[in-house]
Amino acid sequence: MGANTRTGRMMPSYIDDRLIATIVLTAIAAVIPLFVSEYVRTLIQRCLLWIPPTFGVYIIYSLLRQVHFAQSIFIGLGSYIAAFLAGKYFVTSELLILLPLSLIVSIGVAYVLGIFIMRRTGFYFAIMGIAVTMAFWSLVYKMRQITGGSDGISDIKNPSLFGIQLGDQGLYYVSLVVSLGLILLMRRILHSPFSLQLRAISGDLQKAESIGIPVNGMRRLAFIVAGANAGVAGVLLAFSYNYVGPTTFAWEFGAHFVQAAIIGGVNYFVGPIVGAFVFVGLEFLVSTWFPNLWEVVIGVIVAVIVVTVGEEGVTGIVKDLFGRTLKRANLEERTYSDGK
Amino acid sequence: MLAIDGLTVSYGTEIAVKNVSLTVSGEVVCLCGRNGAGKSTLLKAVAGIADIDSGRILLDGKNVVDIPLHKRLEAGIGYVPEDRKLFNEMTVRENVEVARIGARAAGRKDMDVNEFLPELASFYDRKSKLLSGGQQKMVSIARAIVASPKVVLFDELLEGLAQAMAFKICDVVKRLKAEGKDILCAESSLDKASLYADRVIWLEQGKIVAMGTPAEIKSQMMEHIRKMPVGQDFRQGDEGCRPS
Amino acid sequence: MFSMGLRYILNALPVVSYVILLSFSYSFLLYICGRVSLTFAGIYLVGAYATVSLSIALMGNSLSFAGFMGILLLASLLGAAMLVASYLCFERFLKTDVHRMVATSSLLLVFRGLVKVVWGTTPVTYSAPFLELGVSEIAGNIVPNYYLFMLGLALLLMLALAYFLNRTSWGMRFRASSLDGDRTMAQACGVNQNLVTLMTFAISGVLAGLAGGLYAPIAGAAYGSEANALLLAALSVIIGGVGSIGGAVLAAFIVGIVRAVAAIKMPVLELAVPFIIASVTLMLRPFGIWGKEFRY
Repeated sequence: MGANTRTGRMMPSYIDDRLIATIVLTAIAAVIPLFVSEYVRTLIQRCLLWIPPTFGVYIIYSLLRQVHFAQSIFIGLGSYIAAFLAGKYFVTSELLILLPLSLIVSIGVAYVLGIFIMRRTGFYFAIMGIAVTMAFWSLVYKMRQITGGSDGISDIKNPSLFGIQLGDQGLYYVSLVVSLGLILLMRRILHSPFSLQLRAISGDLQKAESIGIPVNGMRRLAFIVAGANAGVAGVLLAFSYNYVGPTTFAWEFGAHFVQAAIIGGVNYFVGPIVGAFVFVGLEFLVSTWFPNLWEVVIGVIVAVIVVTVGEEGVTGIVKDLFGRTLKRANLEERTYSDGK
Repeated sequence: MLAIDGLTVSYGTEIAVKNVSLTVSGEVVCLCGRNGAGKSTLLKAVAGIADIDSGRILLDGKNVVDIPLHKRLEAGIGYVPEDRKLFNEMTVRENVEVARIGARAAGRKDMDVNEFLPELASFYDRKSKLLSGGQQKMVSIARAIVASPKVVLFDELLEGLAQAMAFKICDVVKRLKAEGKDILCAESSLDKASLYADRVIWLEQGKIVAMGTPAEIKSQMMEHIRKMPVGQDFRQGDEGCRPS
Repeated sequence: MFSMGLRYILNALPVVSYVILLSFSYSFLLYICGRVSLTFAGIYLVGAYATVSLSIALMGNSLSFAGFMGILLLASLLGAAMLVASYLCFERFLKTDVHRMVATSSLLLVFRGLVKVVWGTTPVTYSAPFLELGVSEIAGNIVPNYYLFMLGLALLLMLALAYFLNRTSWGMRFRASSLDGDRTMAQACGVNQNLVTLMTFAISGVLAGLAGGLYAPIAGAAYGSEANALLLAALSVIIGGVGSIGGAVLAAFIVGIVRAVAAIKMPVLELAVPFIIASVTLMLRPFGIWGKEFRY
């Protein structure tokens, strides 16, 4: 930065860069369904819907340094709300009812669960998270009359918005808008004093408490924010998959969001976005050739990423490569101008 | 005889000890200096806890730099850490035994710590976490000397000890010296060092700036110490040497 | 009433026994090395499949119990080898607890995926040893001898480990290196930490592999059972306290029996019950019933 100002080269400021990137990417995401097959569109839609829950993991990880395996609960809650109300016991398929309802339920459940799960940090939190997902799984699995047991609920009608029945394309744009809105909301939250306080908590619990931060309340709030994200995405995921089963609650499903966040890189705000796209893309690519191997491949990739670059993830690697070429270009320019 | 030759230790970019050379033979040498001057780091380097960048550490002419941490006790280096660091859930006996077994396995002669530190007898079978600070220090010393090392390293020996216990510990140090052991200590207070040290080495930013008897150093350095800017007192280095 | 209670307890014995082994496999690693690792559940799964496949391949229908013991031994050695290999190739590069949790959970998914590739998703069963041992009668309740054998073996191993830790010189070194002691100072006292870590991983692997192998004749080797095992074992550690043998046994009994009761009375809450017990424990005793206060 300093070098640039000294050489007098006009660089667009950092924020503008991001704004431009956001607009460009959103525009691409908006027009792409017009050019690609239906299948690819569904895939992109799925990527978009993976972003909010991955953001939940990201918030808990980057601010609190905890591993959040329990995102699948909220995905599952949202999905089953959609499946019950718009599928099995058809009441309404109006998104303006489903989404807020799922949001409220997720927040409520996250509030209650937070009391139990957030009590301790470290492996206690991770294990309790896994335990909760398993508890929900067995609940859904065994309440066969209501939930359809292991068969799940398939036959979910497409939702409507403002009373207008949405097509598949319409659902795509709703997903885009919802996920973009949540991303912007997360950005707002991460630039607020809330995130600073959370960072203080991750440093030292006792110290944070002694300077007057309500430690438990703040941590539970982070958990609620993460859960709300997943709950909203869950409704749209149910419509997207057109099927909801107990595997939605399985612990490995929650672990996949952790993997996605790690692949993307939890040191960067764009990490979860990159992670969601890379994860879903990889899952698709590997399972087209080797249907049984995608979990193995992704597991190995995550393990390698953790060992080699830690929290940097793919974003960090790309940024590093990109930064190096940029620096080299800069350097060449400088030598050129210096060697007059 | 312990001889340190051109020792340099760093944590990342921070150099904690810069090219220090010193010898200890049959005496009690105490490293003094402000917090973060590199005293503790130097001791940790000799004990094998901190990795060194360059230099040699000679024990009776044999370089011990490449000897891993768990073999240093066998090689003849005993270390008493700053905050005692006992094995809390174990009895005093077991604390001492751990070191004794290691020494015996290596064919080293172990020593009768109960004879050397008769005070231990009164709490020999109690859990070490239940002991007072002075008693814990005593156990920590016993653990370091049970393998009859040639060199004993004491980090902040008298830190946080009441006067009576401090005298007792000083007495222990003098008896160890009488047994012919080389003793290297680190002490942040010059007054405390003068209670037991034959020679004081003043470290400043990882380098030796003065050397002499406690009285000499006191007269030499007092003016300097008074003028020392407090703001520079804190450095990260001292904290950062826990091996992962 | 009493006989009813006894029946529940007897029915819960297999789960209790394997949870004892598995939870201590996890908490031993955590206690001695300070390492969180979820890989043990993967080892459990592989142990179960290895036992069943080996038994079918080597013995078919002609079962000798000694042969089955030999296969169990093989399964536990396989577990030890795998966990040690996973440490040497992978886990030793993980520097923080968060990294360990993320990476080992991924490793667990890898194990799971490999099991799926090798054995498929249909459960494999081999109940010959279970049938072979016959049944006996305790206070009017018929109980398979295999249940008693499992519990006996689990308790025997725990006793052996307790003896090893508290009475032998190597055990003393282990305790000196544990969370209760001080790793660096233990090493400065001549305890080779690399060796201690390797041995801890090996013991942990033996326990996990054996847990899988022992339970396999009853439940079969089933893809997906690792989640159940992970849950019960890890919750038992939370309930019993890290590093405590008594805690592991007690917690396994609590979790196993309450879960067995719940499975009959309220099957819907079968897996919620262990979680509720763990939550209550954390509220009353944050470090577990028998646990000590660690930095975790």
